[in-house]
Amino acid sequence: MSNDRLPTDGAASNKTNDAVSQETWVWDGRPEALLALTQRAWEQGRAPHAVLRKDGYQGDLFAQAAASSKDMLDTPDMANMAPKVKLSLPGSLYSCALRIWMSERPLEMVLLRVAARVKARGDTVLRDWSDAEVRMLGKTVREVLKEEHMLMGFARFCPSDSGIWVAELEPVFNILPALLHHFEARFNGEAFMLADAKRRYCIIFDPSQNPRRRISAFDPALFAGRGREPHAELWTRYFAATENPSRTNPRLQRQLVPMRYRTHLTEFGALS
Amino acid sequence: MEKLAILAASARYDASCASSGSQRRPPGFADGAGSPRGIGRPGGIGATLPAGVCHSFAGDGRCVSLLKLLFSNSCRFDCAYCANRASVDQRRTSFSVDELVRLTTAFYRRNYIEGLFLSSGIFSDSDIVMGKLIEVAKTLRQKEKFAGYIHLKAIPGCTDAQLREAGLWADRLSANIELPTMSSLARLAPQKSGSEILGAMKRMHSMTEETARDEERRRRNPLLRPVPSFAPAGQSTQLVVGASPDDDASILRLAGSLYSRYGMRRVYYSAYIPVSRDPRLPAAAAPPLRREHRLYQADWLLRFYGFDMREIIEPGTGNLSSSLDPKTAWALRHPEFFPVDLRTASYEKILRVPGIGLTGARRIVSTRRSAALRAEDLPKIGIVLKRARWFISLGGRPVELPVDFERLALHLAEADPHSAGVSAIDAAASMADWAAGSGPAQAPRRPAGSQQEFSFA
Repeated sequence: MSNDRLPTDGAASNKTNDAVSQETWVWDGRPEALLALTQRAWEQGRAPHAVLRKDGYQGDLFAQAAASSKDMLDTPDMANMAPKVKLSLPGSLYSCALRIWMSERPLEMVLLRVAARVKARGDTVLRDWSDAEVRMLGKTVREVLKEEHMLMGFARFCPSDSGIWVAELEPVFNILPALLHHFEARFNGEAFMLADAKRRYCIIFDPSQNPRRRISAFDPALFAGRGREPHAELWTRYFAATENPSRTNPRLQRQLVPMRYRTHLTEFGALS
Repeated sequence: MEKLAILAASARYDASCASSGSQRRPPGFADGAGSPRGIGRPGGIGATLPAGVCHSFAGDGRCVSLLKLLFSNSCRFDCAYCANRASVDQRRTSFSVDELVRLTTAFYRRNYIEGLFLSSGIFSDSDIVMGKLIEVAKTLRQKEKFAGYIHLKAIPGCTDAQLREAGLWADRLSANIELPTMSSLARLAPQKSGSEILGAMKRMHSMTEETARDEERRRRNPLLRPVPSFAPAGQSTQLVVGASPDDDASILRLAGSLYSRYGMRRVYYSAYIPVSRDPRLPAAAAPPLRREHRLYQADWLLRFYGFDMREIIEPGTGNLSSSLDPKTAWALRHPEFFPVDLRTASYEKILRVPGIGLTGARRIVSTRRSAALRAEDLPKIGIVLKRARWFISLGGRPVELPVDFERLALHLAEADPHSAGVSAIDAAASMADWAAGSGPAQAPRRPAGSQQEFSFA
């Protein structure tokens, strides 16, 4: 059994006999890069000594002179790697790597160590709940998936002046890309925009444009038309009418709709 | 707007609001290709997810997933427990088909809802009422090309052709049986016919099976034309708890039969909310929420944990324990079954341990393949040791020293959040002994066998 009985501190997980190289791998923060690193750790069956973000990388005096330290970034077709990675990595590891990227938590090293173990022992490693590192990844993945699922329901769209449906969100994790697929299917060809007010960016899906999906800066002016929406009032009235006074349980309601989501929910007083 | 408020308030007593069990994606998406009827084609709107999506949560914590409305709250029936019964003096109104369609698509685009749940009072003959519901679903599907979720109420007494058509447009159909025995139904809802309701369920089940057979034939021979699926999310029903003197055993026996005979996807239990002073009803001040909760726990045990109804009912009472959850109560009655060794026991046996759920049992089984389980691992994989520790061992060594199960029962009852916390509610909900006419009583639920139950011949 593995690291459970180990300190969870990233770089020092060596009490097990996991293969760990002396290299330092550098990545630029893009999801494709993290996927490529994961694939590399999985293929080689060993994790690096450390993983650093490119912007903070200052070199490591004690690391082995590693020609490989930057080569992941220099791969010319990095942007095209994600689909290939998807084909080669075990599905659960691919999905896990994506969610770890979305979580924005510094768990890259943990991910790579687990990926290396998957190579050695198969993907049953990912179901070993007594392994502290697997548990840490699993917990994070579950939190990201829960946030995704909640925002599939809690996003509130309104028509903008330009005729596109817009929704403003403040997700805890960087999950807009994961929501895109869901809303594309839901709107089925209609243009819409998801805005992340916390990270100040938007993803726009417009089938009449090329490319159909693009990222732009957050523009509060897009939401200027809110408050004039007659349907928002109808919905608020409907929501109030479904209340069953003899069963009221505000504590449960607070648990299911945490306060942080309510700022964007029409029925809880937000403009829409 | 007023119409919306009235018809939403009239529909709020229906517990079902699930949007799960059906997957429909527009053509071109990796996980779907629309449906054979062209639902989800370009120019339309909507998709469904098998897990369903909650778009909000009402004040009582219920998921708001569908726009739950009555087509009309006018009703010819005078069911004692119903807020919309004919004898109630309240404003009656109806939607038009167009109003409902516009409202549904407008709310759907704003992501307020996952689809529509449409029921109705019986304002005319069954087939006329059913015809209206079908018209709404058909307009949504054909004119608006709406591919979101639709749940329609099947009106007992409608024709076979109507039922078939409803199932082709809707994702889920439901016919509420409301009361667990024929005698209660005859007493509280004399205009309803139990055999008609069960007949509608039976017809829906056979239509679902027919679709499954067609799909199987097509799987074997891909050259056959695809068949439209009948209510892909299946059928559900609802039972009112506490409006009649029926005990928990009758309720669970009926639910068990509905699951096994009619392939019911879900039976909902709805605590009776006092809406009238009818002498046939209990003089309850508050809904029996704890009883409703225990029934849901028992229902889960029947469906997913491999328990039999006779195992979970308290012997000699016909009811579930109110102070302990049904699994713990069963465990305390069966000390010979414990301790269960988590390193070697089968998945089915682990499932019977209080404090270990489906996820926990799965994790135990997958974890022990690669490591010897230790007591300190258990809380980390989500096992509630507070309850489980009395019933488990690891490698032959009990996790907790053996105790007297009678004392343990008292200890666990005190620790149960649904035991102490809601005792006031349950006390207030104790029903009048209306059968004897002697005023409020403590335990008026009738033992199994004293009521005439539904026949599934």
